[in-house]
Amino acid sequence: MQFTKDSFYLALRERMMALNPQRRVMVDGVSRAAIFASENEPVSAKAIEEDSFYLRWGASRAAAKHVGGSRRLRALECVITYRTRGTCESAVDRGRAIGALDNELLNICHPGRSRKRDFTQSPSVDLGSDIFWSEPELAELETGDASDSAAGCGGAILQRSARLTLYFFPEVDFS
Amino acid sequence: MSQSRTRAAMVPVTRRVRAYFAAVDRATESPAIFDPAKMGLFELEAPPTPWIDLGWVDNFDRISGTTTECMRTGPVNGASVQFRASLDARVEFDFREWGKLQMALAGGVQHMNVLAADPNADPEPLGGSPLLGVAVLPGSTATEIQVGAGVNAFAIGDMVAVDVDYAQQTGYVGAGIAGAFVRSAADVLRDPNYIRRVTFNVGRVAGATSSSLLMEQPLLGGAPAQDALVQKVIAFADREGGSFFQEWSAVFVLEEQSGGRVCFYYPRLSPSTPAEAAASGYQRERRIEIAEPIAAVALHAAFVALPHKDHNDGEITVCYRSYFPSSAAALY
Repeated sequence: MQFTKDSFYLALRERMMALNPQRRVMVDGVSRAAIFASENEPVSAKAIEEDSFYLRWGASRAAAKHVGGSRRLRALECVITYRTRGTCESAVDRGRAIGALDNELLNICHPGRSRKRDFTQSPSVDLGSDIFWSEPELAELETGDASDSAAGCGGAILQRSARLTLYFFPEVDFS
Repeated sequence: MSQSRTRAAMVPVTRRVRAYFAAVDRATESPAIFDPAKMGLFELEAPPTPWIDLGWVDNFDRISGTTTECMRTGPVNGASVQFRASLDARVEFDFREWGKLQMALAGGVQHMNVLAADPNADPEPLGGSPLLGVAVLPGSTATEIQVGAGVNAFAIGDMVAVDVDYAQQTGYVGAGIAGAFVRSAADVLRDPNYIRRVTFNVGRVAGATSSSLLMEQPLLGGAPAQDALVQKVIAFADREGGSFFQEWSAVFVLEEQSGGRVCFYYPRLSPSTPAEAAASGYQRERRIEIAEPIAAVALHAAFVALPHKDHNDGEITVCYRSYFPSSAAALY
């Protein structure tokens, strides 16, 4: 399963850097692509960088109707969270900024497949199958600071979670 | 009410059906024999020779079309003697895993290896004139093909076909397993590559030494002949139509979950039209939804069982069912 997580994360990171090379953030003085696998970040890391994508892995299950054979298909839930307060002090463009993030996410998730590789070695090794995933489902916008919502502006920070399901053949031979 | 420790074990419980096929010797019409005494409880991952594991099959249906009729006699026309009027058995299922054999069995006709084509060749539906083959050298086995300096013509991951040149012969062709029947050399344009186009002797290059190719799986037809050549395969293909019929022996095993194993043995299976197809046709491939619109694709296969003479008693039969009770299970 780790290969699936690594392959998905790196596929999205590469696609994002090709699509929008400026989508980077400074973390501990280092410029990084603004996409993170939450479970790989140090526990001391800032809660969440703005204008960045955070991947969080959910439950994994056997894909119904695909549980026979030596290579059984599994499903893995993934939630991608991102937030923004826009680009100006008044945050009046935060709607457009979250829209741009929505657009980027939809772009980098297409096409919905990537090669599964073992990134624990260098160079990485082709594992002989693809991972593929469903279309991201964008949840409703949330406000990052509820205190502002009473002012009728909908909050200074906008946050969204997108959910998708990855499918993969695990590195387990069930024969 | 009394307590029983054995009754439940009389119920065969299965999770999936596994299919094993072996080639029929077409020249003599001799099937591969599944001997339940010797082979019945084989490890499902390691079937005995010559059986080939074709993996998981779904929607497995055994259909008997054998009919019985009665001879009626007497003043009230009562049934006095019963006899079997026709012998008919069919089997249908979906191959959930695709490969050369699965495609060949589901398609039923010659199954073609699309050989890597010469860049200047005219386009053809099954691939144009191929690149020249590399000669196989002595000392080759089913898993290691000696090719000398020819090793540089291949890369790890390549699929290859390994068989002899077509030499104008007629009849069944293909190393180990009949891949096609040639009625005349003119039909196949005297193409020296024809046998490698239809051979089942294919494999994937998993590695290489300085002078040999190492196969991921053993070549199905066994060690290549000394005058064989190796050619790169790009894809597999079959056609709707054609005069050739595949014919294979098959064993289906209901993978035991409660101890008792059930096996179905068909000495001679020939691809046929599914029972449902009489009027409106049928789907060659079936979609099994993963999450709409993502779906897996299964190969639908249908066979008619051809007759076989049982040497034990001379009876003509088309299939066998064997049951291996769980240890300690009651027998009746």
